[in-house]
Amino acid sequence: MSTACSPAARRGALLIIVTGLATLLLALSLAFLATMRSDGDRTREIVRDTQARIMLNAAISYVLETSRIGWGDSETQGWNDIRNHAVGPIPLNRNPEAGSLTQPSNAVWAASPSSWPAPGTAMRTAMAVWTRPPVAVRAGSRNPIRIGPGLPIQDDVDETRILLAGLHGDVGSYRSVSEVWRAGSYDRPDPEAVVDPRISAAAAAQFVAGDQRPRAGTAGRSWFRVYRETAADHNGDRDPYYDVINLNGGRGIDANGADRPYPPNASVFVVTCGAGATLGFRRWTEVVAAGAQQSFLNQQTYFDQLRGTEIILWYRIEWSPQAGDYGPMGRRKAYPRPNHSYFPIWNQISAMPSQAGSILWTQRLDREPPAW
Amino acid sequence: MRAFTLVELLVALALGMIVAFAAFAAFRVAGKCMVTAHNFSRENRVIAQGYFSTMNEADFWFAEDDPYDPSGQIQRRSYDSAGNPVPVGTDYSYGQPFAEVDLTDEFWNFNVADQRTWSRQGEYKTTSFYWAVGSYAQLGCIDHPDPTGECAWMHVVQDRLYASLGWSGYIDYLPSPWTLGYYLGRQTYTPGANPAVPLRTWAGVDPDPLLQTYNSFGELITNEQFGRPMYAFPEDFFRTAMNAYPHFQTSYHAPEKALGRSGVHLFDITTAFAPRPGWTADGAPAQYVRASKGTIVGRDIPRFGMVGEWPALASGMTASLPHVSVGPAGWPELTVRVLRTSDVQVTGRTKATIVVTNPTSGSTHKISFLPIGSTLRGARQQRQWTHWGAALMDY
Repeated sequence: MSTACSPAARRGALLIIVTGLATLLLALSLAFLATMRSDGDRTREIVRDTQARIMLNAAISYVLETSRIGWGDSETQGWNDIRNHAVGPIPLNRNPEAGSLTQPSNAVWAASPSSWPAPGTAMRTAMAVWTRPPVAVRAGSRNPIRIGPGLPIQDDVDETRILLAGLHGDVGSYRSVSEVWRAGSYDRPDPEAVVDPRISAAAAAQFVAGDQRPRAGTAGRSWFRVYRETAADHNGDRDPYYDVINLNGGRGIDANGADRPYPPNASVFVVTCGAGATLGFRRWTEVVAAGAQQSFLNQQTYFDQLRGTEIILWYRIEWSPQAGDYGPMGRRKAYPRPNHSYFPIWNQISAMPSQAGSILWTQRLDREPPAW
Repeated sequence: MRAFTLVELLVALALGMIVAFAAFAAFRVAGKCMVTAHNFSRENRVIAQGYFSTMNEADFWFAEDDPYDPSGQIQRRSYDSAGNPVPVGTDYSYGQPFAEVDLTDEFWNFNVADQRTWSRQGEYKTTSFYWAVGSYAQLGCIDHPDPTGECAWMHVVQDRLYASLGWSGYIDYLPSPWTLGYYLGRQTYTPGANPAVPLRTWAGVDPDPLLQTYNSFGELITNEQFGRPMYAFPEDFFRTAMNAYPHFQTSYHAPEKALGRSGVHLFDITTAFAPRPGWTADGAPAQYVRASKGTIVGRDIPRFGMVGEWPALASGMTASLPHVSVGPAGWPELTVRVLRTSDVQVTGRTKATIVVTNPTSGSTHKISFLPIGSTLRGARQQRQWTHWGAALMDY
């Protein structure tokens, strides 16, 4: 009887060993990959949730800013016009008394009453970072060198002139914010344009328009919608479920001295915050109405799949014309102590009031609202 | 004869040993990688749980008020100095942020169309008073010719806010510049409203009405600090669960950051919402912000001792979610804390901290961030939803 293994047997044993090792390595690798994938999914969920919450911030900024700007050439006066409380926004140069206070004929939405921003309508925006925003500027570099006789260096905290900044041009020693910035940047009084509009007419147009192409990796990730509530949405009748307080009502003295009920509160909004690639369309019918089917490969099922993977949060907010106020440093006159050890320009900037009102409250909704 | 020589066998054994050791080392490394990966995975899972718990808390305020459990609703009442419940809004009671308020009362009218709720950015008109505080001070009735008319409205609103919702609720509700106007005082102080302070009025009694004034509580508001007169908060007010910044020397320059809801004309202070029992960090007893216009409970703090006060309060002000364990024993331990504060810079800031301690590796990870969520008024409305119990809160 021979004790030596045959070559075939040796090859077989080797094959078994190699196969076993390979299987073990494969199992370890698969387990590792599965763990990593699971972690990745979980992390993506957190990232999406965070992105959705960032949209709340974006939507609030939108509501604040569009209470005053963004409706054409003229500044407006708030979601409820501060001149007579009419439902706005109404341009500053238009009479808010024209029409009823609920349906002012001079409101920016008067020409198309069923479209944004009329009460009962919603807007949608898909967020992405533009390659270059409109009228993009960059800060000028700072120059610590004294630049002229009698002029202080710009980092000199004793520069009292910039203590006098104000926003409203009141009678007194107030200056505009732009003057404050100039004071902090003697070498380059104004910021630099990213695209110099002086080069040519085309460059000027590019400067104004910006470059709206989304930066890589920023498109299809988040969006928000803003629904402007009607008076019935916050009259305290518990329809919808979150309508628990009558936010209308109240009386006041109008411009003619008459005591009369206030117009309805038109400053309450439902904010929908989304993280996903549906671009903020609520339904496929909206996609079709907007002619945006190509964004979803002309397939409703694809849109539905995207919707199914999104994180959507709903909030309510109420806007107010309350604009804040200046802090003590922002409004008072030149400070008597010249050697104080802080930076006055910081106080000036931080003491700015909001020129677009404020948000009175924010409320997370735990169920989908009927309209958004 | 075909066979291996001894040398061949030894060489083969040596080579085999090298391969075997290499394979063993590789598997050992692979195994360690797997263990590490699983450890990280477990930590990630726990951190994710902490994140969502925190966001849930930021949105729904369960740490302050549980809509489903009456024992978790103790901040819906007011208390007296002995800690006994008293009717909401009782003068000198300790209001709480989830107490009932009567919105039909004209003094609760925060209607968006009511121009009294807007900011006026005028300057206070007194020659010796170089703090420019906005025309809210005029609404606050300083030198106002009509102390009983519109100018009294703001004070009454604030009196009721403070008595009903307490300090934290008061700060959270008010537009930014109001508080200063409040403490600067009414033109006419109601005699007898607070027997602990002298009965004075603005006109006629003050020897120098331009320099010596009395606040809403009837207290002198001129306060010599830093070698110059300063208009300080009433001490009781000031010491109520507040935190003075370490840079106290510059505190009288405190600017407000009045962007949107930010910014209250406060004076380098921080105040926090107190969590309900069972949600307090480090097992500390709940530290309710219990201060009235006249007294403070359990705050035996030396004058100007505000810097040292906050650490003692902080652990009782931070809500720590009580049930966040997501794994068996030996898994990473999760602690989630939420702190809601208001200060001179920001009203209604929520700070979340997630701490994960891994008993296997001994490592600890701490993550802090400022989530966006519901404000107090939003949280109060949530509790009035039918499916949350339809609490009687803003009626």
